[in-house]
Amino acid sequence: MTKTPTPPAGREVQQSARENDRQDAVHRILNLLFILNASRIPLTTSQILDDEELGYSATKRESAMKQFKRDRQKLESLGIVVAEVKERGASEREESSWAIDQERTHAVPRLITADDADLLAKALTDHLLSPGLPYRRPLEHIVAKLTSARGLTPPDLPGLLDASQDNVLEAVWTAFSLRLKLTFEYENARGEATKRTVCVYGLFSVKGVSYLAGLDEKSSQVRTFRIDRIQRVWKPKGTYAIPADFDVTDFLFFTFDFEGASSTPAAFSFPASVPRAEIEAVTHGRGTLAPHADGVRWDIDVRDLDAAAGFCLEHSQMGMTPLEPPLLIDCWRNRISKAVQAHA
Amino acid sequence: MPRKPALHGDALIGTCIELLQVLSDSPTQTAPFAQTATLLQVSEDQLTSAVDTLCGLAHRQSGARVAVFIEDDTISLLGDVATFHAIRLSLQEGMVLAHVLNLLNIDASVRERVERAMLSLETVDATPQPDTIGSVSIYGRFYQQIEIAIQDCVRLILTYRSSNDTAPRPRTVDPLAIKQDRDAAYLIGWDVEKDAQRLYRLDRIDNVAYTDDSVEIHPWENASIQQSLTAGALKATVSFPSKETLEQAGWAGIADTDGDADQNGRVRATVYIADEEWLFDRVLGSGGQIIIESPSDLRQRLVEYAHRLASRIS
Repeated sequence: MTKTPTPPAGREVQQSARENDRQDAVHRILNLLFILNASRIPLTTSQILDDEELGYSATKRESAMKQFKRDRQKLESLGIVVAEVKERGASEREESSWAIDQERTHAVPRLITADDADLLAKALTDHLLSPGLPYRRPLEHIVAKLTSARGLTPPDLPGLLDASQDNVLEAVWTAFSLRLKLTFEYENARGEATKRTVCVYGLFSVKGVSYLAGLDEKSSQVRTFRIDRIQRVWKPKGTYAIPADFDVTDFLFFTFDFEGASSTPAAFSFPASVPRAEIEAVTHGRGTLAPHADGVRWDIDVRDLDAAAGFCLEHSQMGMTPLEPPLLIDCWRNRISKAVQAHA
Repeated sequence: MPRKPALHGDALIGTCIELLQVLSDSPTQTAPFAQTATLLQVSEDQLTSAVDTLCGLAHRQSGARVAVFIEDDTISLLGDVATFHAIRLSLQEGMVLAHVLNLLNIDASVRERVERAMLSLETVDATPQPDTIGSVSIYGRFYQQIEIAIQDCVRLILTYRSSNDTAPRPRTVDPLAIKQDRDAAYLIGWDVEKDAQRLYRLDRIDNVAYTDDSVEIHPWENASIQQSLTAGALKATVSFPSKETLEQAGWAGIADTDGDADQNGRVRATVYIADEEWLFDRVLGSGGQIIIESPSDLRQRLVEYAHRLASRIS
């Protein structure tokens, strides 16, 4: 027997009822925050649940208690900690009281000096000018909180040029920060579109392009995706945990990371006269740096020796030279030879 | 720009809380309407709905109400019963802040004060978490010192390695500002000895020392990084194996491309180069794929450079 579908009018009524429930929840949670914040003394459970203005009293006591607990959890997810307060010596049967935990909730801007605040506002705003920041949204939020907390005028923040990328970045950040799986339509370099679901483990940027790295359900491997190639996102759902040994630095890739199934240890040298910061900018903090002869040695695993030789040549001016393995040096010489032949 | 949908659920709650914080932290408990919408990343309609929502909040027992209203393009919060000051950063926001402070090499004492003030207490005292946010540092080790010198108008001695130097050497510099592009961050400064404006890559600065002198007034040029890097530069014609390779190169000195690809798929571009060895490194790195077409003496100097380079390894 086929099920009789709900008539359209009934579906509208259901949607309207759900919308009203959501509005009621918003009002109840905000009002709970307001009365706890406004009250000079902790409020008892009864005072809260029996307050008709809040809306718990319309339900059964047990349901109301559960709803109250969920609302506290919601506030805590927003950074507002509602703590249980019990007088010393109070019996276990005595009713709980509740108050906002000021120390755990509120920032303490007086700990930041005026010089700190000026430096930070400038530094964070400068950094927001970097193209392709995957954490742009939370950083703007941090700048706003910092300046607001110090009573400073918020700086004019540079806007994103592409509004659609704004929505994608926001969805990626939301999924990452809440540890919810993200489903998206992705277009690769060949223009092929696929639907992927990824547990986002890390976010990073290289040369002005932002990427996410995470466990791709389709391949069951940790993959890297360019965020500007995400065409469409769905609402994140499904929780996950990031493995304790995950390190996003391993994903700050080089051109020599992409070919070949296996990697080969390689080593390069830099002269001692090159500032350490310059070497670290080139090496991305990957591999190991150690004193060597009259300079610095960089050891790193590479998948493509020829691409590694090309990378080394691009940094010749700073004195970067291949050390090992011999095949790397051969690739390096070969590239020089081909370039000379092309200009002979 | 498409109209933003109405706020509801978590987004509405978050916006209302942030609005209360902005108003509470203002000395006058007011905020300009349009600027606040931008600050909270909502539309003006969404901000209005947040104000309306706040107006509906009340405490029956005490009779307290949230008194917030919009008048003359200003949002105002009356009284102190609804004031709600800035809350600590979330765990993930704390990670972003920690990452950026590390990237900029902000010193430990400033970081500790900021973290104690702003981060959730669980984050401050917690065991280290996996590194999940990353980017390549382009700011070197002295961003903070330089920024302080800029703010306080202090003349500096920079120990700096330019691309033509084999080792860093000291220069007396009046700092003006820090700018950045995709690949590097630069100090715009005035070289006092050369009496000229210069760009200094932050990651090539080996040391910074403050002098007792203040900066002087200079005829600064408001040029972009690209303009500064290519001012007085050598002009060359360079060909790339494909349009895609040209675009991926992302060189700041590419002025224009020479129309469509030729029959071999190669694309030519006019390139301005402040430093020819920089170009040579990229040509050699491409293994002959990128070719200097003209001028001919530049091609000859590439070959000489290549021979010198090859002799590094016997």
